[in-house]
Amino acid sequence: MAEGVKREITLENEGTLGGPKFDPPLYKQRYKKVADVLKGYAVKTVVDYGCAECKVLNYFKNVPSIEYIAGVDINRSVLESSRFLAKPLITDYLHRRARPLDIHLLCGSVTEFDSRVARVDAVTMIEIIEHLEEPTLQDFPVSVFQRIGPKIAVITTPNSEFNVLFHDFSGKRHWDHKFEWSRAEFQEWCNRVGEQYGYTVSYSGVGEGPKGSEHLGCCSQMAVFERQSETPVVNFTETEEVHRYALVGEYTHPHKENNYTREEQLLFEVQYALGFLTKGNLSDPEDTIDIPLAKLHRFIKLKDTCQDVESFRAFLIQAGYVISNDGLSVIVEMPTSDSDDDLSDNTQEEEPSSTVVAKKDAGTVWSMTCEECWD
Amino acid sequence: MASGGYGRGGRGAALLQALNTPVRKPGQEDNGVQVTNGKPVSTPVGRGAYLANLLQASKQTEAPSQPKVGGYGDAEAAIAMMGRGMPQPQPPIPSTGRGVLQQQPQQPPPGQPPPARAMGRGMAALAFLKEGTSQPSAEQPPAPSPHRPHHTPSPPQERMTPSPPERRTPPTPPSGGMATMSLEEKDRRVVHMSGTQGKPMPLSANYIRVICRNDAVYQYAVSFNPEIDSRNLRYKLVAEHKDDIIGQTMAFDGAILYLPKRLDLETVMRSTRITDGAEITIRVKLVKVLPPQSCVQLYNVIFRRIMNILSMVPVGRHNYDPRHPAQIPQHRLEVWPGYITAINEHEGGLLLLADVSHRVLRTETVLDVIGRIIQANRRGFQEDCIKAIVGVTVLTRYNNKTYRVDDIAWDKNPRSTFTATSTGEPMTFVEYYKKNHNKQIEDFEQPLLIHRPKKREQGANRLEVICLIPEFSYMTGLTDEIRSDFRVMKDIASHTRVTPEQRVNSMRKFIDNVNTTDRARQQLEQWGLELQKDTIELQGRLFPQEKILYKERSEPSGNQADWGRSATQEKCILGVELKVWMVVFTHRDQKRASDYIDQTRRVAGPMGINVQDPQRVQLNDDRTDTFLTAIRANMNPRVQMVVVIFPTSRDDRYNAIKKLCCVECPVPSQVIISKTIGNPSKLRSVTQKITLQINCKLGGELWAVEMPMKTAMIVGIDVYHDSPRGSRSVAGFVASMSKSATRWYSRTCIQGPGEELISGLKMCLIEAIKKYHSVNHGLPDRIFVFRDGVGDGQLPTVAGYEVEQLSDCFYHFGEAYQPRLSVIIVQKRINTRIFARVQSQGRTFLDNPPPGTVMDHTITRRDWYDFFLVSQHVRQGTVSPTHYVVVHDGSGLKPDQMQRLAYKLTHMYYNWPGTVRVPAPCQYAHKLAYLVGQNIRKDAAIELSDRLFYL
Repeated sequence: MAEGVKREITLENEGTLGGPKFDPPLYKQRYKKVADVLKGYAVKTVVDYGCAECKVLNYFKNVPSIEYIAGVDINRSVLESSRFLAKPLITDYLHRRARPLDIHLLCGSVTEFDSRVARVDAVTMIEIIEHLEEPTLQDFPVSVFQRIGPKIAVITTPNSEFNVLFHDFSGKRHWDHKFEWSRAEFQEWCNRVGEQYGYTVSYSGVGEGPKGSEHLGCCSQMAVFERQSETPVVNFTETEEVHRYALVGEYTHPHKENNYTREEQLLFEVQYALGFLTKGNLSDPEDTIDIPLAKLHRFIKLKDTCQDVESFRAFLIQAGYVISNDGLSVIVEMPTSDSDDDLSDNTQEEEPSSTVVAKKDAGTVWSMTCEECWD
Repeated sequence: MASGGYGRGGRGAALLQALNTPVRKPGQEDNGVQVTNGKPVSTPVGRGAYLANLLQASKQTEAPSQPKVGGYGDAEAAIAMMGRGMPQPQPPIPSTGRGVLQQQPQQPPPGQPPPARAMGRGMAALAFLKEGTSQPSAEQPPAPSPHRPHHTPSPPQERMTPSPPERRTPPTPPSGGMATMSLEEKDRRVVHMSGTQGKPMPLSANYIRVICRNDAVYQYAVSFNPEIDSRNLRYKLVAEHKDDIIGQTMAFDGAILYLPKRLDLETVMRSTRITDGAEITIRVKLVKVLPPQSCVQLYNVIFRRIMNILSMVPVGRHNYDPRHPAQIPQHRLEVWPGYITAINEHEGGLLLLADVSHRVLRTETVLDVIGRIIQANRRGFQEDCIKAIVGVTVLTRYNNKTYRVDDIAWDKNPRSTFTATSTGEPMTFVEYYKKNHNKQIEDFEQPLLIHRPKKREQGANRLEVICLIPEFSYMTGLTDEIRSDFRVMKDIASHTRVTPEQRVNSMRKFIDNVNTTDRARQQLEQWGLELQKDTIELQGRLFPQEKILYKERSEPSGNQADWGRSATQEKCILGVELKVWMVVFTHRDQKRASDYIDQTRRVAGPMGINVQDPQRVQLNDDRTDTFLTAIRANMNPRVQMVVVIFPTSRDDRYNAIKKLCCVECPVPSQVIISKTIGNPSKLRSVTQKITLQINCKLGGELWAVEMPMKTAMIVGIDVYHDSPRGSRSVAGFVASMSKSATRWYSRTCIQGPGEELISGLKMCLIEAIKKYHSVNHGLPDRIFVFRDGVGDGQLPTVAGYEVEQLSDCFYHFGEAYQPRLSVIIVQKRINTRIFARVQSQGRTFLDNPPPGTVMDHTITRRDWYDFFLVSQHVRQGTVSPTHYVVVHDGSGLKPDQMQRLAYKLTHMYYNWPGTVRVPAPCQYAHKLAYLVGQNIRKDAAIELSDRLFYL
């Protein structure tokens, strides 16, 4: 993608071209397939070039191994208007990832070097190379395969052979496409690049056509580049931090930070379970309730600390719970409600009452001796 | 009447027609002149008020000619209204039951053009249909509505109206949204209604002054040629001119542009559309120059941006910080700290309200909950699950959407199939989630949750049912079940309860955060705004303590406005002798019952109440039926009181007993749970309280405060909304029957779907005035209505339409009767907090202000007569003031007196020997509405209406 080239903001949608219908939409299938590749290689860090509307982030976020995602695009305004997608959602906070995750949204060109994305495991370029002007297309393999030298790179692009399936179709799928390659053209280009930088390439596709069109291939073609050597062949030489990309957004996603020991967690489980099992008895006249140990034990999810009822009983005794004489149940003391004026005619007043304070203030000034009349 | 205007069939047509008819403004028309002369009285106001007026106009015009129509949406009503335009005599409608006259059928003079009415979309369409198909029925006299209360016809009377409310917004033509919001601001005067009495109090509040440095905000209308539909593209095209014309600061919603700088009257800009290279001409026209403090909407948008910059997450209406949650793992909860912010133009200028807020979130999936319920109750788990899950809102992680659970499909599981909308082929849920959301379902045995989208949510593909996977659905919010577990609530409160000092400190931190975060501060600076560093300092007043009057002595209310001790030691004003009463208990509670009876007879004497030995009814079991049968068997007209001792608390039993005693055989009743009287060390104080409560239920009077008005009637109204069951609401209505406001007459009205509350309230008011007359042999010359449960959006409606409707009631008592009516809205769920600035050891700190603190300027509403009153004393946390808006004041009381009246009334709630948060009539009305709405679900027997049976 050359400098100055602005792309239409709306997402390309093959579904509008009047050809085969894809369900889920092709872009989703593509993202899912790329995410599956990353999952397969247990990728930890990834840079996506041409991330535009940032929708791919949602797919990458769900790859458990990923800890860093950089979304790079040349178009700052599209990044700015989509950056909310990179933000953690409320559910991300409530139900946290196991690993940390940082997302950077960066504005810049694939031909520029930025040390923030220098050591990533994977580079993805989804439906992007067809938007690149000839010089950029020439230059970017250097920066991707030589200077970054990721473990894997995933590139997808339209398969021009598939275009015959679109009705009344001529030209290209999108007004900004500079070219659309057939499978042979794409593979020829990929093989050449792979050979040059020491990558083996495998090919597949996304979006199958209707029956009988198998010879045309899929709607999108995908190449997965895998580095042959353990370490990059030609490592980048820049040692300093070089920040050529402009930072548009930076988001730290929450992850599980376990501040509790196993015992503490088990104790919370017990508290929760007891609270649950005694819920119906809050208004019972009895002050204590017996909960069978076996029943409580069944309730507990974290069983590795005490696998049988015996060790569970020992754990509870140690934690200060009272066990019945026969050793079969735990005795729960039912707390009484704070309010002691619960007259039970549902007269729980809004005031949290405690003992009546009736200190008489000797010094109270009694200013209203004579009442006025408002009539 | 509908002359083709409905051709377009919708709201537009109806509105159009309404526009062409005189808009009647409450309190301005003169006995129907505008109906007869047909000249439009042009009284346009802002949009909201305008719509309210339309509504009013429609109601006013239909009221005279037609007996009350029950529902606005039902067919019968529509027919009735269609017929209404015809000048024809109304057939008298026979009086049904003991009700009294309500409406004054009044025909428009023959030959006059029928008044047109505005109606909602559905109504208009319905009317249109009716007109086409069932013309004859439209000619018929109105069909009585099924919900219609008792009516008797009365001769047409001249309608008089009360003086108009103090402040009305001046005219503006009705037009859309943001454009007009500012127009109406122009020459409104600020309402100052402040008092002077009381001790000056240095106060602070959770408001921060916002300084406006700019002279104005400029509003422009933007148009594109050729037209651009996409809002995004419009924004983009305008934003391209940031460098040359617009400047870096702009707020643009696609049509209206706000800038802090002035452009020419009309500016033309040119841009190129990137997709096709077309040239777009953008015209920017200056529409208005706004005073900077009036652009409240704009500033609230800016604050939303600031919250975003500060990495706060909006949940519901407020913003929270998810990075520092407080965890409550033993209940599977998290508490997120956050802020409430609202910027508004107040009496004292532009202020930012900021307050600490907490959001409680749950960390469980629905599958977790189901699993637990099954573990706990293997047999009845389905019922328990329904109780715990149906009705809650769940959050689905894969798309971050929320759904309400309407049902659980036990016969389905993730391997069940459904027909995929796109392909028409059957597909399992497992496949669907894998394919569409890349989610693997782990548990194949779980049932599915059913969500039935409402019509408007159904969207393009008209899904009637959405199935959700419990495993992917996270519980949100606290259910009533959790709320009722005080162990959970206690643990939550330990995180959410903050003292005034902590509250203000976290506000200061927030301001500091805004001021030191460059991007956040710039958002304000761009518009010439600046936040002051600290909360606002105010001078308030403290009213003197009230004197609590007993039969023989009086007592000051005390610093904390708590007279729990003297209430049980002094003789109450009127003790009703308890001669014939029964105590019903099970054999297990025999001892407790007997101890309780002995204790009652011991403690009642000093309180000035004579208590005879009751009839003891011992039961052999605790079945509800046994209780009911026993009470029925022992009931006779001489029984004053039924005391029932429950072995445990159970809602169904409670409801059954209350139904029996409030409806079937009316007698005051008192339910006691055995546990309450089980502790011998507390028995005395518990019995004292119960005895006082029983005395109230028999019509006794406990204490009083000085009431400096002889012939005023004070009314309290509150509404109970039956939220889980939907439609039905119950309004509680109480009215004072004595000078000292110690005796109360009560009514309820149950509001059916689509019915208007006000019609029921009118009837209650008429009944209350009649009762007042029979008790006091005279009519009240002043009536104060304290109304709870009215939101800000309804204030204009209450001030206009409802006040007028209530005033209508007075004609039933003769033309000469024109009491002075005041209507005061009581709002207790507000975000305003007031703090006392206390000097101690050389430094100032903030504390809760004492009861009786009033604040009536600066932070009050700009356009209303209102004040804040702190009436209650709290021992922990921060006290909440109560907001009183005097929407209509005919009383002639000074603001001081109005405030004092409100404060005095907070002393008069007999279930609490101290001040409460709202005036006693509101609290009584609340209690009554709750009992009727929640427990007995029927109007209580009229025999009980002169006592506080609902306490």
